[in-house]
Amino acid sequence: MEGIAHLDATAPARDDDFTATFGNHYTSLVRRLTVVVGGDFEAGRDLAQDAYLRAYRARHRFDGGDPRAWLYTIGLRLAFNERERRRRWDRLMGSRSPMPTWVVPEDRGLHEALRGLRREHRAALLLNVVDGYTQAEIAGMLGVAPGTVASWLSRAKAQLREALTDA
Amino acid sequence: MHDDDFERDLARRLRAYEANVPAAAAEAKRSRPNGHRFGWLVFAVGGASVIAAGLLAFVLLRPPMRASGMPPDRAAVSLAVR
Repeated sequence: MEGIAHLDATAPARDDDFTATFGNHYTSLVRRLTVVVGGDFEAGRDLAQDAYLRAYRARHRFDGGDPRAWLYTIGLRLAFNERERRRRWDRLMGSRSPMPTWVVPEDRGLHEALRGLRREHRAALLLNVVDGYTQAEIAGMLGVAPGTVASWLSRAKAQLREALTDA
Repeated sequence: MHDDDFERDLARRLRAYEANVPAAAAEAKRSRPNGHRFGWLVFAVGGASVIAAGLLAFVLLRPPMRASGMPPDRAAVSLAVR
């Protein structure tokens, strides 16, 4: 997987190196995770903080490749697992999670269209259309087969095209 | 719209959408009713109510005081006689 490898001499071992390498990508990670979880800004920020901490703890495993891809990989996997964890918790306790701060950006049409997608589809779409990652790279980041990513992207684009054309 | 045109336009809108997220979150927080703002008031009113209820219960439920010694008017008379 791009960006992830075992011990490497170029890995940012010191705190200063870590901040210099990953600090610039924190804000974009918050934005990305907020969009991926459907617009809940606090959930996006919490996930980004968690991802950043995990990246810091595992900094010796970074191979010196693409730091943004590495952070996104950790953050997106956390986002997928967090939804399952929250669902299980709500089912077990019969409770609802605290009221989130739903973000409604200016482009309401796109916002509603994105919310109609599954979380995995949103993630794959953003990585491909906005960041330009290939299907193979996205598959590596999300831990799925390239064919699955191709299917997600195809469905997401078709769904968005339909929603945005109707709007 | 061709696929390429659609994707180019979609990429532009998605970038703008993501860039707008922090501002939209700040706006959502501003417009959301803040539960913490009046929390102290609820706590203070609740505390005052509990204290008032305790005092009222003390006044209403305390046993009546037993009268002892001479009635006040008789005591005044005896002091005046002296």
